[in-house]
Amino acid sequence: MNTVKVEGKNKKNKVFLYTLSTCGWCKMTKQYLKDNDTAYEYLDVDRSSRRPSRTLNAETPPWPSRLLSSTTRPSYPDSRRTQ
Amino acid sequence: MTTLDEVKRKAEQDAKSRGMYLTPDESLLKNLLEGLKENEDRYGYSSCPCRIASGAFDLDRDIICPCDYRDPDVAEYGTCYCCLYVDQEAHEGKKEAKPIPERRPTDKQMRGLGMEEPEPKETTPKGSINATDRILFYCKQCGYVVFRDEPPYMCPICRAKREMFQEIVTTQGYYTRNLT
Repeated sequence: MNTVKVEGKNKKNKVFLYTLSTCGWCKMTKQYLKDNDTAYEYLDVDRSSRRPSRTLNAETPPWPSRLLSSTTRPSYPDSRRTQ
Repeated sequence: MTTLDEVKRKAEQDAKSRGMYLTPDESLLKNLLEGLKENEDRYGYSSCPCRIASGAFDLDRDIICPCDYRDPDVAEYGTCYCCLYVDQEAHEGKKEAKPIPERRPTDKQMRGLGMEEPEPKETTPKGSINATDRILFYCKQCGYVVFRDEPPYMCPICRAKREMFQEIVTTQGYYTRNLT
């Protein structure tokens, strides 16, 4: 599975999410964007063919994990709770 | 194949025995339990739904739910990393469940992603316990002893609070002398 595009009316900014298919917070973020009719793309990293893994061979392109800071969860909209 | 009910029952039992609760947010709870089930089916163990698993048991051992970071996270923030387990205040809605910082050390994350070399093999003599980072704690109320980085959230035996745990002072020499 690779990048999935979700259509929406709001296309002001390009939104790309690196997510886990199993994660509750990732699902909430996807739902938030959908509720706000925002166009976005996402990649479920755990299901991706570019999934980082020791079991894959060295030719596999590395997943851009460096994009994620070690201290923060990948960004999620704070306003979600105040809706 | 495990069922969703089994996953839920296991989590509920664990929360109860440790003085914790499952998240009061119904939809989040459902998503997290489904994520746990998915990981159990995919990897053969219930790896944290909000962290990426390597698929290698040894590298994921610390993030198998309930993860090694749950107790200190619930004690400090009132919820664990994925928010499956919460404390009483969050359970009663007095405190909002929010995302919290990742406690898992970066080197462990990187090792799981295959971006760092595997941990060097322990050089301690066979049969001895490496006591350099983990410490013994005992419950002052009932005497229950744990060997881990921090005391548990609550004593699983007598339900005494975290504050009732006291460090047992030992030295590395003790282990090598008596446990080999």
